[in-house]
Amino acid sequence: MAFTYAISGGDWARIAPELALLVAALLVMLVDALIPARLRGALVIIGVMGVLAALAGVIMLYASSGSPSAFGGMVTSDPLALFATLVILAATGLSLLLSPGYIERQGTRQQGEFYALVMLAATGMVLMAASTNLMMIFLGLELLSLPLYVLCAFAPGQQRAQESGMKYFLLSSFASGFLLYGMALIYGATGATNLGGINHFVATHAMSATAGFGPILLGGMALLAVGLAFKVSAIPFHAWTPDVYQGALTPVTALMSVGTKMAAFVALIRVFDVALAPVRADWQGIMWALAILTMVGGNILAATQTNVKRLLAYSSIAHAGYLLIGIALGTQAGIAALLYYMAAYAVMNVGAFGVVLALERVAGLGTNLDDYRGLASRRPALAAALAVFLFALAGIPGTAGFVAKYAIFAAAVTGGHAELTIIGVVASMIGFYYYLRVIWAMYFVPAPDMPAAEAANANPHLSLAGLNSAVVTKLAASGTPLAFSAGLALALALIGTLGLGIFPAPLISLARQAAGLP
Amino acid sequence: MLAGQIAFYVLAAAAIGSGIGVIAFRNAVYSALSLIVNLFCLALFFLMLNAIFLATVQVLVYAGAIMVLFLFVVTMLSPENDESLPTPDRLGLWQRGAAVGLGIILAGAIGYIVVGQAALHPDAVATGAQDLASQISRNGNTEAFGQALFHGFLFPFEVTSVILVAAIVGAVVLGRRTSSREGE
Repeated sequence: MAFTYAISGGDWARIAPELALLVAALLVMLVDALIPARLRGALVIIGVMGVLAALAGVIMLYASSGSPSAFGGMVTSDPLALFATLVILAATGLSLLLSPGYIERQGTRQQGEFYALVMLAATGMVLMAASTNLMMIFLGLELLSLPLYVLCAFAPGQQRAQESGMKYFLLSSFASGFLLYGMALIYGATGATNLGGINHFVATHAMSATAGFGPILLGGMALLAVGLAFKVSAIPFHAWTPDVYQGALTPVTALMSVGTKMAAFVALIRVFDVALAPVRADWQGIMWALAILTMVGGNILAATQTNVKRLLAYSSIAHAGYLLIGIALGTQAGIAALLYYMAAYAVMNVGAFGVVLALERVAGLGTNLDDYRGLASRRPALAAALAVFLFALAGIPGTAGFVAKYAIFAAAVTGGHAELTIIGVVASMIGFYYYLRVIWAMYFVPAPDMPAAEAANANPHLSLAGLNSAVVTKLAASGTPLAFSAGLALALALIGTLGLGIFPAPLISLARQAAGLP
Repeated sequence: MLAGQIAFYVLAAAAIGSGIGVIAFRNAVYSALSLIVNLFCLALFFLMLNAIFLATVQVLVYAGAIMVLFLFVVTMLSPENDESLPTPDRLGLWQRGAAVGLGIILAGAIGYIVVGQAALHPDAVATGAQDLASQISRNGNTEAFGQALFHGFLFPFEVTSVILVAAIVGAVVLGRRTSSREGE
């Protein structure tokens, strides 16, 4: 281990995306202090520019040659890290675009801090995905978690938001303890925190390992798996997900559901599928069981939900199950399928949360399934967009979700685990039920006060006076105009969802490259 | 060796016992005092591993400064005692000027380190930069620690500072919101 590694300028270039996001976060805070309060909504522009700068950094690193490793093996800019960075940047950019208008509507006055924390969380996510050292994985995880705790509790004066932040903080800190203890045990067993060093040790000692470091390494792997499984909300470590996702501001939920998952899955890939590959027999069973439990459990629990945000939270648990197949297989094809799935999931899930956000009123009202009844006649464009996103999440052909599911199930069959495919397909069938339930409510169930609403739509000025106050509130809510940036984000997500479904080849080849396949 | 092992197990028992004490005591002051015992045991563990510098820092920073802070918070914290904090909007002109000046100095220092690429200490290079053991035997514990912290582990060290920034922003957000809501 290089204790006295001398850092050069090239090392900093290797973390260009992280630096761009960090600089944007600091700039947001600086500008926030200098401009008058009424202009603070414009701070989102700095955030978006930071994301674009990070994107330029990713492209630069894709084009660059030489060793991707930086800072003496602490971080890397290999294709896996770059692919994950692209997914995280997409989620961050879309979440940022969804925020203006919405966070003012929720009564947030500290917009500068909001955008700064979002950028810091994104920095942590990218850093965790780039980490090739257990210490850096932990630091990246903390850097993404700390801002998210605060962002979850951001909505002022709302009990549900405070519950969300507190629950996430306590449970996630507890899970971090497991993770850290697991890392300490692995370090004790292998003498390295560097993933390359761990791999070298395990590979050379794997055959004679039964006596010496067996229990310590096994314990370390188990604790590490618990810590990371919590972060991807795999069952049985999922209990926090619905409450936290429901209480948090919706752009935060969207960012969390994609960015945290992507970062944690890259850590899972690097630790288990790469570094600990020689002792695959020891951990494969755990991942296999986690994948099945999460797929089946997530879909069954989602089917009973009546709140769309909670439904999407359980659906994100179910998707974590499909993604875990890629880890459990331990093959490069499995990793490539996982990465493509994650990219598809990013656009369709952020898109779905984006529509929920457009319909949401203060304090999470207007997110129940009942509020979506007859949406197709009130907000046809939003209803159609949500229908596309939900079809994609369900895995209908022509959308990104179908290609993603096909890739991961095909990888399972060729990887010799056809049983995972069968269980996954059955679980997706349950998934169809609850996604279609929302679409059914939007298109085929009339709103409770449909005639009045129609009259109001026909001539709002005349008929508003004659309606009772409940209907007026309802109309005002459903008539909240869509902010331009939110519309842009939804359009981009829609293009992504359909584009990745119809022309999946470029991204699949990028994912295969990231997994080390030709 | 035997004496070392006995010492380890005695210390381990004390560390675990005091660790349980931290979460088991109903009185917050007792919990804090257990934590001091726990941190002291950790310092002794570092000492047993010949990490003299880490042991010293552990006592100075954790058992000393941070514990004093803990006890202050525990004894002084009472929910009804809410003093209005100075709002950052009322920064004086000299504060802004000082902030700009210090910011320029900081930017210059960072630029110097990044562009000038702080070199390894010649001693460190002479004793074989890769080997920690020879570092310690030649240059001593503290210097080897410094070399490791500011060269091999500089990047994690820097990332920790970003995490602290995130924590500070988070504390400001959560803290200020409470006071603004009570003002309504």
